Amino acid sequence: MRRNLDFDDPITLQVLWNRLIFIADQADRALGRTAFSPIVRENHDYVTVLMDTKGRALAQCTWAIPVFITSLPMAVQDYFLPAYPPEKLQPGDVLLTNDPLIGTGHLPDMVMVTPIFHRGKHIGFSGSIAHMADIGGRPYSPESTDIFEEGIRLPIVKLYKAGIRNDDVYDIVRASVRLPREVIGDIDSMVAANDVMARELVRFLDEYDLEDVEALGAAIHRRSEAQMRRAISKWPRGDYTSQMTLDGYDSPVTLKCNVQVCGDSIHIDYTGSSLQVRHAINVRKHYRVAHSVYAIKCLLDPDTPNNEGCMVPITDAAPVGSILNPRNTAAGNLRNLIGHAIPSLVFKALEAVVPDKVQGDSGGAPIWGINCQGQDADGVPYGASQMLHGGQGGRAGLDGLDTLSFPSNCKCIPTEMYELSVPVLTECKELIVDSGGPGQFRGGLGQRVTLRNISTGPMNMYLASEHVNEPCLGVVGGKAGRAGAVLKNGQQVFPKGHIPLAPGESLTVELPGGGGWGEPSKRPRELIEADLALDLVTPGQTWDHYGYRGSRP
Amino acid sequence: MTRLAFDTGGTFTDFALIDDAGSVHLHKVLSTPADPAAAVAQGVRELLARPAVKAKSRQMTILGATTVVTNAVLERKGVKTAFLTSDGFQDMLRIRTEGRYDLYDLKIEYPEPLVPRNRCYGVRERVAADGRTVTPLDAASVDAIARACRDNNVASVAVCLLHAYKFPDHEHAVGALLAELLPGVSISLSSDVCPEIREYDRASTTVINSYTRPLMTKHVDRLESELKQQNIDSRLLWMTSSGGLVPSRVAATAPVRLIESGPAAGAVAAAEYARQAEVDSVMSFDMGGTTAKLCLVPNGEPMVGSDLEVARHQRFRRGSGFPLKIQSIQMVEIGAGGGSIAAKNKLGLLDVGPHSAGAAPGPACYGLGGEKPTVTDADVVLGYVGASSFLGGGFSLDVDKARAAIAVLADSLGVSIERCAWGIHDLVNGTMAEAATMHAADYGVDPSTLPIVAFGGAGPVHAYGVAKKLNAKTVICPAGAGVTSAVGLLIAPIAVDIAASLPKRLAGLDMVAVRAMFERMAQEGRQIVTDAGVAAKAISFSYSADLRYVGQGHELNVALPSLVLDGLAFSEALLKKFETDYAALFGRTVSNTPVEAITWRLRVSGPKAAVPTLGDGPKALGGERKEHRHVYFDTEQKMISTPVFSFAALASGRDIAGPAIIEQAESTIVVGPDANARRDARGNLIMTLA
Repeated sequence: MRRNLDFDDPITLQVLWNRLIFIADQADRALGRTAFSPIVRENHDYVTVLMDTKGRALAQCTWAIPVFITSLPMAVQDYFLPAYPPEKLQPGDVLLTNDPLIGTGHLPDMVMVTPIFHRGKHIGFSGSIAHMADIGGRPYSPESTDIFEEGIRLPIVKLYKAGIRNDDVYDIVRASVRLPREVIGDIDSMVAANDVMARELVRFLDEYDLEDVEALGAAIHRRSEAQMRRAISKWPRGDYTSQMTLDGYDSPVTLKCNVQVCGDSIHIDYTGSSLQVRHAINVRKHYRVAHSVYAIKCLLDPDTPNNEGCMVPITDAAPVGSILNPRNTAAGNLRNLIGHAIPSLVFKALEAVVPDKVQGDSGGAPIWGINCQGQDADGVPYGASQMLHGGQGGRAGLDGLDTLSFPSNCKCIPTEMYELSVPVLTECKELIVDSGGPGQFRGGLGQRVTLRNISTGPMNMYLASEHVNEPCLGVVGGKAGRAGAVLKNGQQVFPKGHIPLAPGESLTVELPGGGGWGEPSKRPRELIEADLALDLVTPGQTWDHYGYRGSRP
Repeated sequence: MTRLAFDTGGTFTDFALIDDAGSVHLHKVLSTPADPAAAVAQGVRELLARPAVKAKSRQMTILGATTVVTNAVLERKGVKTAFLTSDGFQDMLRIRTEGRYDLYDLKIEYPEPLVPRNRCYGVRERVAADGRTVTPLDAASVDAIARACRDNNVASVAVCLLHAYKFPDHEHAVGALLAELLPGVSISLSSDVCPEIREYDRASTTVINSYTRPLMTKHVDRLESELKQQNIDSRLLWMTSSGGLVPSRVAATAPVRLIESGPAAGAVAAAEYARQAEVDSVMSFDMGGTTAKLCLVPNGEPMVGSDLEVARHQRFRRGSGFPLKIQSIQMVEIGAGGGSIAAKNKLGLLDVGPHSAGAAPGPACYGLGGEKPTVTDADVVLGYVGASSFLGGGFSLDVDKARAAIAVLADSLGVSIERCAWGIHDLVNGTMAEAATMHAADYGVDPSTLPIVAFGGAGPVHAYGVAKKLNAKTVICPAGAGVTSAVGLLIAPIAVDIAASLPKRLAGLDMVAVRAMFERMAQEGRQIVTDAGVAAKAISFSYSADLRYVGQGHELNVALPSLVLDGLAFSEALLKKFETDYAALFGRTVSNTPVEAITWRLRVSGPKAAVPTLGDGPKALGGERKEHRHVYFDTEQKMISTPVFSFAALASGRDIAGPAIIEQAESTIVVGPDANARRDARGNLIMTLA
């Protein structure tokens, strides 16, 4: 039995708050260590989040992904709770959906929410989202023209009801996906992770003799929100706009934003962006909001552990029917191809406000995904998705890092692990010289990866790519990086969607370099010489962009 | 025979010697980083010159723990190294994993690779995942690389070819060619150093080995010749990260195995203290000036695993350093210690660390110019650490400076000085308790069931608070908190770990092949331990395997049933053990999914050495109580008058009721109001919490 806790005490709050983050990290560990598919266990394409009774985020795992941590609380607040108010929940229930509208904007992401009970009362939710290795339909392809082509869709279902497993749901999933062992195994890992959070939260409440997390959550939210508002109010009021062109599927897509700094809040308006398109690159609301909020948090308050309070002062909007707010049955499996560009768009708009904080557009925005699918000689399906990233944009004071996941945060599957999953030979995975956008601090380098079918049968590659026609732009006077490219057997091909490979054929992807930061003419001579010494740039480029001739006369 | 242990640290080299009469002698000299062997030679000379040391013969066993390897990496003072890999993967060290260790910080950085891009070379060859040769090894490409290495004066070469963890033929061939082409250059093959899947981790490990190998070779040679000059006929053994001792030959060729040499010795000692206190499992808690190490010791032995990371950016962010896949005692390192600085963060909350005042300027109370409040300052203000008894009274602390530093922070937070100091102390304890919980949970252990073995300068000061948070009931404070690593060296067995990557499903396991594989491994291990002086009949073997459900990517290490069982009985017994461990960890097993072994492991070891008694022995009664001073306890919410005892003067069996402070030469034990302490027959102090 403890004395009364003062949640406004700067020391007490820190101790308790750290513990909540720790609980989310414990669940993260359990999920990753028991997972089956490479996309979960190697790429780390999942998160765990602890929420209060209203579905507001209290704490999240440290290794997180922007879209998931924001979509999960939005899903609970706007969909799970209306469908399952506390009186319809009991201990042992586990709720599951992959509806893009409710969750993250595409079907492969399973959204799982487990109500937590303490002393007979509902006190919060543990939640996790993980990207499944397969979800039926067209595998990870931008070619679909509506949501029904993209795979199976589970509305919110009770996967467990009062601790009893609902085998019907398992059976439906098992029958609908190409890789049932991975998918079912990973769903079970999510169940375990949510259980860990619930168990540890109850243990924490017992330890401090607390009834619930309401007062603690309120203290966390209040302080975080105040900090975000304080940071915003230091920016000059005004409207800051930018525009960006992306390759799109078969015609260019324009994104426009107007970042309205209004005292202690920010509203981002995407009016003027392209209309929704026929193919699967439409970005639903949750995905958009997540990246709006993420971009602002990076600039204003990267230190505060993320929670609902950090998000409240930031709002956004896009016209219905636009590519950032499509109608309900629009295809969106590869919504990351457009949505991942949002932070770079916002940075560009704010380059004059906080030049020392923004970074150039990144070759990891979006992630390029390659889903390899096929059947071995016995007709047994194989498959694995590889995630690849180009160079990070240049930063004030620092060159962009080569090959970095941004704004997402996926690792790349080790080549040796990937080649055990699918009969592919990776012929190279190397940096592309001169691909970083010139600048006072240049963009990070992109990479070239060649994959060859070394099986005796046909292989299907499904590719998600961007920045092949339109390179990553620089900021604050920095120049664009090298654009990407996609080649089959050395010949340029349409860079998105299904690319079949006969035995012996190869696919080469060249990921874009990041945009530069600042005027190239201001680049320090030592950095130019260090780049030359490591062959990261060629003498030709240093002359063209930096006017550097070295020791030559 | 005389046994002498040394532990080369950043500042001091510590010594412990057991002479022919069985007496223990301790010594300390300043380290000599430019030539670490010099400090060792000096210390040995000084120790042996002591009249009290009874060493008749000049034959002795010398046991070493060293930071030579770690510091070479941290300070980037290794040799000029080249990296060779399968053509097309030369950028592996720069590409890393592509993930970010901090989601919101746009300005993250990683340490520069130890081998720059212009010394990374591609060998024309390729083996597929199933072992087929897709591109035969092109000797001409190796020849060209060797020429470039020679032109660049490369001193060491790391080779990591794809899939060599399982199919090492090409690596062996490249190694043979290089040995011929580059005489005098050290060559490290990934299939020797670290035969584990995941190329970046394996390459990173091999590069660190290669980068430090000539330094370690030189260190070993220098020390051997120094000892010879002193007419000492020594058998020199080195502590590895996995807690075993290996001969100089192994230390010099696989220095990466020594990267956690000192901390491993500490963990071995903690296991011994647990045995002395007659408990099976403990949590070892070693807290120093800048970092703390926590290590779960279940069933009397530290856990050995293969996940490690070094040279983290800013020392502590997980994922920001170089990954290492070597057998290592599994511990967590926390970037917080006595020197960690406390500050108010942007939210107006109290933060402790990650910055540290280090040794210079050090905490404010050192009076060396430090002005920022640190954990040690808080401990002084709270009365836990005495101003005049620090380091046995050899270094006096300035309480006023500590109070002044804390006062500034307390003001800005709007709390009293005591409240602020308590907050700092308590937050650090929280960090330690959380790390301990996570570490224990990784192995399915409830940390509240574990006694804590506390050592290091700050360990005993914080152990009571950490135990309260973990709800642990016992704290063991060994005699000689400052020489724990040296004690570990004196008792560690000679041991070598050998691994083989041979993925096999448990169903239908071919026992003939498994036995043959282990026989090869045993032969290799037996050779090394007998070379180190272990009698053949004293050697023991422990067999284990890393298992997982087919399709998973992470394994559990499980001890093997008897190898004489037939295939069916063996795999059934192994499966049962795996599922029990898995369920204990993750709450469930996976149905209808086969289980496979990925890596097979063998530890070949000699016996543990006899344990020296370090306690100074009870002194005359009456001299034990030194004074009373005001000490803060949270349960009382204020400073209360508390008796202070001298550890050395405490009689064994004497019960001390908390609150109390017990001072050792190198540390101070805090006994809370709800705790009792008693010095046991072995000289260690056992604290029991209510």
